[in-house]
Amino acid sequence: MHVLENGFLRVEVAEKGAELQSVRTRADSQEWLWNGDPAWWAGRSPLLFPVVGQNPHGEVTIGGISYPMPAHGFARNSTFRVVDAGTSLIRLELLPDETTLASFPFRFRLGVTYRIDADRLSCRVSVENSGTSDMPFQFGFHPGFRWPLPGAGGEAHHVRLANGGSPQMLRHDVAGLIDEKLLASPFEEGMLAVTPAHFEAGAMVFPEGAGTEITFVGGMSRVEMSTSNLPAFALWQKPGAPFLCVEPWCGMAPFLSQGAALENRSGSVMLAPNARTIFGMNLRFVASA
Amino acid sequence: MTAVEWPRMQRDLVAILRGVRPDEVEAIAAALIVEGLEAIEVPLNSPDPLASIRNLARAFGDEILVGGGTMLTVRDVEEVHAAGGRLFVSPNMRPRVIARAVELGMVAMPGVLTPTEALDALDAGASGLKFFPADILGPSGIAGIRVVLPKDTLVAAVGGVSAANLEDYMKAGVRAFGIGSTFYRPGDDAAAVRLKARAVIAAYDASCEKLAKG
Repeated sequence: MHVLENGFLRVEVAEKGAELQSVRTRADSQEWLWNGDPAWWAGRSPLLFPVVGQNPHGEVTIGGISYPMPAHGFARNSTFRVVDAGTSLIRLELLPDETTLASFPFRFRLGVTYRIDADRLSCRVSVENSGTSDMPFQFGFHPGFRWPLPGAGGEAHHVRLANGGSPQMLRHDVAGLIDEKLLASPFEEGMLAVTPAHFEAGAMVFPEGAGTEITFVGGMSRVEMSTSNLPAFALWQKPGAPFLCVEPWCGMAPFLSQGAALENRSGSVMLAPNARTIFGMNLRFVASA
Repeated sequence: MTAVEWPRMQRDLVAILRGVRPDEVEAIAAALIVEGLEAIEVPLNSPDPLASIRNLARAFGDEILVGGGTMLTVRDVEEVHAAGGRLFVSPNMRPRVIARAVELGMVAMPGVLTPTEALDALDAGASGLKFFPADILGPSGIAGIRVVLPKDTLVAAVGGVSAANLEDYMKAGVRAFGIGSTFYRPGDDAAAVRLKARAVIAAYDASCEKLAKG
């Protein structure tokens, strides 16, 4: 386990999945991240690569050939190599091995950097195509935050979009594929009072229009998120669980009618040989006074 | 050969660190990144530019787009790429130089000033077009040329752009901006750069918000 620490934050990062394990504010020693209790959900903040979401019959096709692919991809179960580690920064990378090549026939480099600066945590992920053919992939962040937030027990919680938008929503079917029927937005002028009832039908997926600044607010506490290169986002919890996942994505599970081709999935990036693309999620944790 | 898409950054701002030195470039870049910048270019007429690009790529290449400016030749492209740069910016447009950058997977932003240059640069694989020097054309000149470009062309303005005129350029359909001395002049330290970046970003965000509200 690696620790980043300054006067405001203490952050733990695991090599498995390059996953955040803990985010505490120093002033009050409060934990903001979900604790990974497997009774609800064993994840904390997995990185989703090279796919976001479920795959039809556990497979994707790439160039017409079928490959087994775990839901949300293999990165979250892969062990990353630490490239650089200090008190305010850690950089990790994942390169192809037999396991990844069995699911995803590409030479890639997945670089992950966590950096703290005062009360902000920056999470940046770069994907590089080191091969000689175009590489389709998707990427997403999937942080789970404690719900209620620290210091906000008994308070109503909201998700607020800084753009004031009311993005239309998609839902998954029972197999985790996406029903392409766009539903009315649960947001009103950028505000949604979240309740467990919202998640009885699974995650709420917003393919576009949520903007780049999303805040999860409870009472006087809040998590401010700003994102880069991640046009879609989803909200999810196991109904009634003490966490809420606020998930900025580039890509999602296939539509019901879409089949298994990774190239055709909504939001898939087609990365040219040698090219690199970067995704970002910045977090700021504001505790009630 | 697939053109490399212009990245979808939170803000389409490229900091141009003309004159920056390799021993200070990391501290300057860190200040810009903390304020929300996601792309940095070191012009090749800066002192020891490849060393600066190498330092930037090593420290921040997984976090932001790093590359070179004033890249005039195929050799410039190859050297910047070998130093870890993934952004190609030039003041002019030479199809074979653009093509080499694209071949190496770089985001390519060549400089253009006329419809002929703009369309030829796109043919060569440009990710976006840098109108330079933008103050010669002004917002109305760029708007005029945009009419003949493919609709989704990413248009950038460089040269004479400041917080004061960002909004006029945005109204003309300019999405990206290269900003030089307004962010950094030789002699500025990281703290000074951070304050200047904060002011430009505030102006950029305010302009975006105003235009979004129509």
